[in-house]
Parts: sequence; structure tokens; C-alpha cells
Amino acid sequence: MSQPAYVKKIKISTDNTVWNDLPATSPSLSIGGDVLDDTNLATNAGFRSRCLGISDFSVSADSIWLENNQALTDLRDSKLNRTTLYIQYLPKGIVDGTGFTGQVVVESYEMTGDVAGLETVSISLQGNGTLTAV
Amino acid sequence: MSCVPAYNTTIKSGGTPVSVVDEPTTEISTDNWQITDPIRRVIDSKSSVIEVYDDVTLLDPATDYTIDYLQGIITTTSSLGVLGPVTVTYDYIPLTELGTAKSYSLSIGGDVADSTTFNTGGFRTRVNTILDISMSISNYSDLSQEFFDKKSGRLPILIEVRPGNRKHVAMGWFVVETDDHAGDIAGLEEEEISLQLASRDPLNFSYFIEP
Repeated sequence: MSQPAYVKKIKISTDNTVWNDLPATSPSLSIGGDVLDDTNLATNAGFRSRCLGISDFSVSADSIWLENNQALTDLRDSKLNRTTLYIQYLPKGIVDGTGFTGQVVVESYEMTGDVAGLETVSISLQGNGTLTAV
Repeated sequence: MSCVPAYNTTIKSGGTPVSVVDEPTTEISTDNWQITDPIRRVIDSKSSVIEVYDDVTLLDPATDYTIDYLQGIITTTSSLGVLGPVTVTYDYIPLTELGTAKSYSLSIGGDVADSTTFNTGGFRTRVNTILDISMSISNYSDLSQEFFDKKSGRLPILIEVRPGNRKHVAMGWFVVETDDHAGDIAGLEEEEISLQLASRDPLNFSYFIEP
């Protein structure tokens, strides 16, 4: 059964305890890392083979800019002060084992405003350590 | 919780410095004195004269205070005790709204260094290092050549962005990276400006929220 995205929650925390909702409109989580080619003459069957090296993840989110939103404030301050944050990516909006959590650094925090639109923020986050399911 | 329409957003640029004498300040918190007149708060760090007075006593810039030039805040050394009135003689930078701006973006970015080691549990780790700010502004051209003058003169320009004309303020010194002009036969002449953070002052960018 498919999962509607409108119930998704993106939560930000400075201490991994108190969580604040990000007013995101189109967040995405990318789970990747290094894929190492170990194809060799001794063991190949005519196909490449690989094993996984360092794992990595990143999050990007376009958000509505809200003047007093704590998550946006924490993201901006984290970038300006070079601190780390915690993120929860919850497809069902709750912690039920279907979501992900990890520590991140803010790669960029971009504010945008068009006369015919809303003030918005585009955020990109890079993983800093382990990504776990929650 | 309410969204903020951007049509009220203001973007301002800094103009020619203006000299003022004995400008009053307001103590906004202990030992922190802000220029009272909001129009005169941006202090030109290149002022020929910057003098801070405790009543009639000239304070020593080497030991008695520090200055936040963008917010116009004088922070006095706590050992000076109770002061007042604190006044400042300096050049302020007036801000004028870009009357034909129609969109902007301001990106707070920089370098993110990889700190992954054998002890980080199989996941990459990272640390923010040098920060950087870039901006782009889209204007209907007012033919003032303000940005062209800055670029050709190799001069930095002070830019203030106030999203939704609310209390959040992003302000910094920028160099004009590009100043592009275009206009279709059936449209208006437009100007696209890209800006990069300049090296005018040690603190060349500030994001603050007014009380």
C-alpha cells in the first residue's frame, strides 16, 4: 500500500531530545556511500562485483520560511556557528520504525523571495555519522 | 504560525557615509549600547573618526569597548562599571531600498570538510569550516548603474535583506560578481546581479533578529 507524503514529518533537534518540525514542502533523504569495485580475474564470472565501503546520507528540503520557526532558527544558527544537529525523517509522521534519524551538518541554508511568492528556504544537510531507523 | 509573503520583503543597499557627532545610544542590555536612531545604526568601520564617550570621557578603543559595526552596538568592558550616557561620533552608512528588485536569494554556505576516520563506525563524518555567503538579486533595471559603478570601481557594497519586512535581518558586505542586463523587445529591461561576500571588515556578515 502506498504512503501519502503529506503526513511526513521532518524534525530537527539540537540535543537529540527536543524535536521541532521543519515547515518543509519537498524534503528528500538520500542514503548512499561508497561502492567499491572488487572485480578481479580470480573470482569474476564475467560480471562486475562490488562491496560497500563507507556509508553516507544527505537530506535536502525546500521549506516555507516562518518567522519564528525553531527548526529553521536551529538550522541557520547551526550553519553560522558550525555546530551539528539531529534530524528525523518520518514518512508516517511518527516514530514507528519506518523513519530515519542521524546527526548532520548544514551544508547550505538558502533564503529566497520572489515578489509574487512566499519567503522560502532551501536547506541541504550532510550526514555526520550513523543513520539509524526509528 | 503564518507564512510570509515575499511582496513585503525589502532589499537595501548602503550609500555614502554621513558624519554624525555625539549620536545617542540606548542600553539594550548590560554593557551593550545600541545607536538609538535605527537609520544611523550601521557604523562605517572606515570612518575617519570613531569616538565613544561615557558622558564627557573619551573611552579607549583598545581596552574599553568593542563595536558591532553592522548592528551599531557598542559593548563596553564590564570593569568600567555603570556608564552613561554613552554617545558615539562616527560615520554611518545610510541604507536605501532597491526600488525595482523583484526577487532574491541569499545562500549561507561554505566548505564542509570530511572528517571520516577508522573510528567513525562506517559512516562519513563532517565538520563545517570556512563559511561563505552569496546572493543574487533580480531587478527591473532602474538605469542607475549602482552595481556597475561598484563593480567597475572594485568597491564592496553593503546589502540588507529583510524577509517580509519583518524583524529578521541579513546584512553583509559584498562584491559584485556579475551585473547582467537584458531586455526582450516586448518586455522590460532587467538586471541580474550576483554578489559574493567581500573582505571589507573582519565581521562582514550578520544575521540578527530585532527585538
